Parts: sequence; structure tokens; C-alpha cells
Amino acid sequence: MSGRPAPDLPGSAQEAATWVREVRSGRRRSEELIPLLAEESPIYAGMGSGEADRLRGHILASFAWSDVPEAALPYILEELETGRNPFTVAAAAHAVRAAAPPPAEAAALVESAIRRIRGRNQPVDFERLLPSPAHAGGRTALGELEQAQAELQARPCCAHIGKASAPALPADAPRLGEIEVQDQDGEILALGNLVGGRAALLTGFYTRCTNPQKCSLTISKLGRLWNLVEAAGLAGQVAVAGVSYDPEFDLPARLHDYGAARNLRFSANLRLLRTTGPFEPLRQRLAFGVGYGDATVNRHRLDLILLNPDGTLAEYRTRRLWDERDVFDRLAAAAPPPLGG
Amino acid sequence: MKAKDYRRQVEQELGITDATKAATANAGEAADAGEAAMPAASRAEPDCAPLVSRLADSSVDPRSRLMALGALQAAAFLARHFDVCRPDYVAALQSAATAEDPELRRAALDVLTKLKDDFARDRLIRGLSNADEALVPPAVALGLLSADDHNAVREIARRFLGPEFAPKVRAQAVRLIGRDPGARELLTKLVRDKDEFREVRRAGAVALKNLNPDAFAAQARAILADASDFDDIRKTVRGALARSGLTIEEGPAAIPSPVGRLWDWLRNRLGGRPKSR
Repeated sequence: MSGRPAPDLPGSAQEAATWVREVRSGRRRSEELIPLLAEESPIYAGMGSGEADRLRGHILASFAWSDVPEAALPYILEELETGRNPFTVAAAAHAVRAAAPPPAEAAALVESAIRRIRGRNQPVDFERLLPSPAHAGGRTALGELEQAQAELQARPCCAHIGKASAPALPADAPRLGEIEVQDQDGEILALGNLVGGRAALLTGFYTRCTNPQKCSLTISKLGRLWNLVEAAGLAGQVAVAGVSYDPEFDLPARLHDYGAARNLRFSANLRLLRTTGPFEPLRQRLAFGVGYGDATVNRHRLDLILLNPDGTLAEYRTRRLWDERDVFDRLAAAAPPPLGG
Repeated sequence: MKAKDYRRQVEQELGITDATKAATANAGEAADAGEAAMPAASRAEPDCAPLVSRLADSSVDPRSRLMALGALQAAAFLARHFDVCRPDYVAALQSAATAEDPELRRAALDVLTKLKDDFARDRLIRGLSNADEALVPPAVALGLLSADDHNAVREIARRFLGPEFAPKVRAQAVRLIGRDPGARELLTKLVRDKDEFREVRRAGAVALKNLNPDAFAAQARAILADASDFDDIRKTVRGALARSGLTIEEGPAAIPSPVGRLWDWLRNRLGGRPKSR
């Protein structure tokens, strides 16, 4: 499901590893690694999650060999905030130490990463892409995080970066009308009919996601957001939907159970959806950041898309956790007045 | 033995004292409260080093290494106390995973795959591609890899579907392939193929049920309506349907005639693949 590589970008893990070596030896600029951090990059296509995370960690750690471009910071902070793989989180900690100056949120995120990784600490080796047997007493994920924490506390703060690195949507992105979707109850509808004429929030997720900080939390937040929408009397003017990245697996019954287990009180304007056809056209239109292995998603970022009632893009938040009250305020501001109101 | 007593026994084996527990609990509470985690050096450390060393040492008897592994597995449940040991434990497991003793290798790989260890996954996949590098038999490797839906091993698993492989290997391959929504047709074919080994058919049925319950229900009903199908297969799908809360509608054909029952019995006795084997 990944696109063709741009002519001047690596198209495979081996080519990406060559670029990493060149950056580490000073023969290539570190900025050139940024496109390789896109989940849909062909370098991750067909890989399992473990391999994709390892390659990503290998790339992230490379910033410590040279410098940390500003464009790399959202990826590093994302990993520190929601990453689950100790290797990749440790690689982000390794990189953030080299940021000059470090981002304002880095210390707090490293601290939260320490809490997440504690209990799953493991040896880490940033030198090699392919895993090799570890040695007792070597570098560890928790050790990297603790070292980053100590250094961040000792260094002057801070660079302020934007909350999100908003992706550029294709020109026809808002035109979702012809994309057919099915909801958790089996109802088939055109996506445009759900979002059109309302302030809409779309987010990606999949039920096989194993990171509780990502899909599970996102869907729980949709439920809490909807409670705010209903309490404000805006249920008719707002649409909220989670769209599965894994539509062939996420059949209606699965979507229903997943949402119900996270306290979603489904309604006409609050649904979990799957595309009835291929996912790729929707992925491209909404620029969802998701890559695939051979059976399911191998990695995805957090995506939150706010659309105006006329279908134009109001806001695109990506990679970082979001607050439902903050998003509710944004939705309420974009919502049309009630009919007859 | 009560859980409390077992925990106490493991703590004693690791030399964890009340003072150690208090120190590590304080470290955890401090971190939970948002104050930085204590530097590793200042934490009280349980004495897991002898067990880890024994597990890693290739000159030690495999029985003794397996016992060390068992004790360390139990200790790993004491998550907070075990944190300081964990990286060296993983390194020792990786060493044990390539030991000469097959039981030790298998036990170590079992633990490592549960930890989603990159080294173990890489070695299992390499072993399936090249028998000279295999640390465990294919059925074991496929079974260990099937524990994680996010492993990308579909194409490798397909190679083990061929009739030249034993049913238990093919059944594990089916479990792995069955996580891919694109495998629905293949699974349907396996489930309905009365010439297929029953172990493989059952694996196909379970995989299809997990992948697409509606597609499974359709096949299950067809099997239940076919009195000439095997008793144990029909029992399996009947149970799976009931557990799914789906209606079981067995038509008249599902009530086997005496001849049908005799045929069924004969085929069950013959091992489930009467036409081809």
C-alpha cells in the first residue's frame, strides 16, 4: 500500500541503511533522513512492526552522530510520548540529547517514557541495523533514557516547536463524497454524506493496534469528545468518526465491539468506519501516516483531521497526543448554527 | 502453595530483602509522582546476577541453565525489583537461544519471542529460510512467530503449506497465514477439503473464525449439513459456532444414517485423509 519512492529517495531498507551510514560518516546531511521517517515510506513496506521499529530507531539514533534538524523534532517527541518499543524510544532519547537547544517538552516526555519503558528494559545497540546478541553490562534502553533525563536537566532550555507538523493534503482531499464506507452496524454510506454540512473530525485507528497510547486511547477520547458535543447540544451539527487503517480485518462487528469497549455511544454522527473498497484512495486523500506489513499495519502515527462544514480543511494535527476539550472547542467553533436557530 | 508464599520463595532465591523492596518501591513511587527516576546506581539491586550468569554460561549443564531460566522467569513477575536485572537477563536468554541443548534453545526462544525480542525474531525467520541456521524445528518456529500478528512472515509460512511437510508444520503455517485478511479463500478451501489432514482443517477453521466470523459461520453450517464429513470436524465447528452465539441449524442431512456413521467411523480410524493417504 506504499507509494513509489521519489526518484532520489531510498526505496528499500538496504538503501536506507546506506544513507544512515553516510550521515553517520558525515558524507550526507542529516536533513536528508527526514523523508525516511514517514510511515508510508517504501523502505518499511512489507516489514513486520519489529523490523519497521528497528529501522526507524536506527534512523532516529543517527541524528546523534551529526545534528538534530528542527524537522526531526516532531518524530523524536512523538516517540518519546507514545512509543512502546524500548529500542525506538531509546533511540529517540539518544537523539534528543544532541538537540541544541532541546525542545521545551523533552524533559517531561523523557520522564513519561521512563515510566512506560520501565518493566520492559532491554539491551540496545545503535551501531548495527541487524539485531545481534547483546552483552551483559552493555547499553540499555532505560539507561539511555536516564542519561537523556540527566543531560536535559543540566542543559539550558529550550526550543519551542509547533504542536504538529501538519501534512500537506492533496487538492482533492476534502472531496470525500464518493468514498464508500461501512459503519459499526453494517450500514453503508458515502463518507461525504457523514461529514458534509457539519463540522467533522476524522481520525485513523485499527483494532489490532497493540499500543494503548495510540488507537485505544484515541477511540476512548472520541467517546469523551462526543459527550462534550452532546452536552453542548451540538450533536446535529458535528460528525465524529474513526476510520480503520485495516478495513479488511475490521469488520462491522469488530468495530462495534472495539468502540463499545471504549464507551462510545454510537449515533448517526458518531461512528467507527471501514472502507468497503481499498483503503489506499482514502489514505492518499487524507494523507494518513500509516505503513503496512504483510498482514496488517506495521506502524502508524496519530492523525486528527478537522473539516469545516463546506468540506475544507480546518486543521490537521498529527503525531502528538491531543486533548479532547481543546479539540471540542475547535469543533464547536467550526460547527454551523443549528437549523432554525 | 499460596501466591504470597511463592512470591516470598522467589524473593528469597534472589536475595530480595525488605530493605531492598522498600528502596525500589520508593524509587518507583518517586517516578510515578513525576519526580525523575532514580539513577540505576542508587537503586537497591536484587542478587539475580548468579542466576543470569548461570543461564548465560555455555559451560554449565543445560539442566542447570534451564533451572536458572525457570527461576528468572518467576522473578521477572516481580517487575519493579527485576528491572535492574532485565537487560542482562535478555542478553543471557539470547545466549541460551543458541545453546547446543535443543530444550534450552526452545525455552529461551519462547521467552524472548514473548518479549518481542528482535534477535530471536530474526533468528527464527532466518531458520525458516535456511535449515542450516534453524535453532528449532519449523513447527516450533512458526508457532512462536504466530504469537504476534505484526510479524511479517506470510510468504515464509506459505512455503510450509506444501504436502511434503508434516501436518503439524502445515497447521502452524495455516495459523500464521490466517492473520492476513487476504487468506480468506485459502482458509475456506482448507476447511472444506475433506481430503485434507484434520489437524490442518481444524487450524484453518480456527483461523477463519478469527479472521472473518461470518465466513466461518457459512462454512461451518455447510459442514454441519454434510453428514459425510468427519465427526471431530463437525464437533469442532459446532462448538465454535455455539461459542460465537450463532444459531446452529443442522438440516436432516446432518443426522447420519447407519451407513454414514459406519463410513464416518472408518474414515476417522483411517486418519482423516482416506483418498490420498
